[in-house]
Amino acid sequence: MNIFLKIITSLRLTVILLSLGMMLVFFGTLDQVNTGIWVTQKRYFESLFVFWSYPAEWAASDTLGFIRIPMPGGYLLGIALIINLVAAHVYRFKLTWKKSGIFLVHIGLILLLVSELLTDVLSRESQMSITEGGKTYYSEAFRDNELVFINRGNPDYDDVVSIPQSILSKKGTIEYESLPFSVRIDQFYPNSVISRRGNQPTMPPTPVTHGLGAHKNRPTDLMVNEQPVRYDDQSVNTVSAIITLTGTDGTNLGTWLVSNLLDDRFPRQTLQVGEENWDLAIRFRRYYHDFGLALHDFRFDRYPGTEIPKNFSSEVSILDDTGSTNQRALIYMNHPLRYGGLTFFQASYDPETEETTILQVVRNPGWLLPYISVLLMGAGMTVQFSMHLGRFASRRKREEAPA
Amino acid sequence: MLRFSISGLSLLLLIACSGCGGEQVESYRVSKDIAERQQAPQPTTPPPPASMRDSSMNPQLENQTAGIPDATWQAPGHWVEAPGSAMRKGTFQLDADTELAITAFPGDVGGLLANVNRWRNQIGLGAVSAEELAADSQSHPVGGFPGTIVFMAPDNPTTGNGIMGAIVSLPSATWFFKVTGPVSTLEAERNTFDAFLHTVSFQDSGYPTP
Repeated sequence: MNIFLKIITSLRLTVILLSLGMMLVFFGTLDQVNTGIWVTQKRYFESLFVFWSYPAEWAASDTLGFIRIPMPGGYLLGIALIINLVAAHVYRFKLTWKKSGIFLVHIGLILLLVSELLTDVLSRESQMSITEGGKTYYSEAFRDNELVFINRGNPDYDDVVSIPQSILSKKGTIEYESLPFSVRIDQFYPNSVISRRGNQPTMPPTPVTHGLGAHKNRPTDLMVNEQPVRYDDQSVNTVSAIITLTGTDGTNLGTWLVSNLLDDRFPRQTLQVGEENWDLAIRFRRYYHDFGLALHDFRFDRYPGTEIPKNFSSEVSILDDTGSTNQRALIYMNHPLRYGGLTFFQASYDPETEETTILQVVRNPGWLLPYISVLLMGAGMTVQFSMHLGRFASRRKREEAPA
Repeated sequence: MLRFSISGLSLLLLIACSGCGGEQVESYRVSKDIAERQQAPQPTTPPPPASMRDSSMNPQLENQTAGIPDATWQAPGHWVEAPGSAMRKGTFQLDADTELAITAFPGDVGGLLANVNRWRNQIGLGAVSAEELAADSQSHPVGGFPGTIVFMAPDNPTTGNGIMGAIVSLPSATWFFKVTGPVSTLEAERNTFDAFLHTVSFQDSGYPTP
């Protein structure tokens, strides 16, 4: 066995990897206080490497602020653990009846690591808000945005073309078969402040020629200033872009300002191309489902003598695509609704009206795997311990037998 | 054995990387019935989603509204002027359930048809075409600028609120005068509202500042 194989199959590597994993959890938890769970998850657990830096909020950060601790990220540790375990099985362990329990435990462990990886890659989280007496057929991801073009010409349906934020951020020109124009992303702002240029007339005018932000509306034209992206759980980034549209015959259809700030509080921005009208907007990434939820009742109690709410619950009906009801459900803490491959958790509510519930909508195709892996590990341990117990008991019997 | 483990590992890595493959532009068709969130009938305009109620955003809206030159008007005696908000140019309480909100936004804000259809959507009515709007609305100048006056009642006028409003296009801004309330009150206030619109005068030169 060469030295490389010796290393990757060794138990010592397993111990080192597990210790590094504990270190990662420890420093990740420290950082979560300042950056919030979303950033911590991305930075520490969905990465290959991470640097922990001494937080500026801590005492003596002037002198100790230089401290940086490099460590492997969650993906690297997870993949290394899988390689270590699989390699050890291939080269060191022999499958025997005596060790079948340990094998089961290891298979369960591998499944657990794989399911974690699958969850990161395939799961999707979004939120659905429904007002009492209202209904909703889609959920929105507030951390992700899309540039949409909507043709509402047909009386029965809307045609939607969605360009995800990840494509907008690369800028460039986008052509799509069902759009009668091409879209050039001139500027993209992952977070921004939109203000009126009239207040600062010395600023150069924006290139925007059409729609809400058009500079022909001087001095009321709008100005976009880039801001650092915010990651904390409470903030919503104002994603904006300046785009230029060109017809298929080369006609210039104008330069437009689009932003998720310009939502349904504002009139729609509409572009006319021939006979067709296309609305354009940046909005939170929207996922339509083939069923909807109607909210009958949202309620919560308050802790006595305080304004602090508790015991949130939402009574909903599931509506199929014809709008008829086929199931009622009560969603409350630790009792999510599972339907159509989605899980709906009670997440929040609108404190102003106290009539709008906000549900966390999670799609995780691998949600069963952790349960299976825990069952396997439990079964493996039971088998292994029972065999040990059996061996111990029979040895004891032999020893006690008269010599 | 080695080959087996290597192929197993590359499969895992492939799964791990499939998420980084990048997203695509996509298109889909969505029925009008489900395209937007449907609210229960409400006495006033529904609030924006809680997630958007970030205090840092409102100053921007205020900026845009505040930059538009003001207008003057004379309200009938029985209308009670309500404390305005930063987003409003004026607010009147016609009675306990009926409110006139006056707002202004830069530009043509999407055009007349889009705005009328936005109002219709707020009281649960379907969109109309430009021809239907022309047939169903009156056009007469407000404060010397082209105005369109609309009156819309919900499908069930006994329970839901209706909207009576005027949309006035100035060169640099669009003004919205929108009365929301029970249809019976709107009917009763129709002539008063017309008279009120005649008193409106804009402090706008009529031309964009160079």
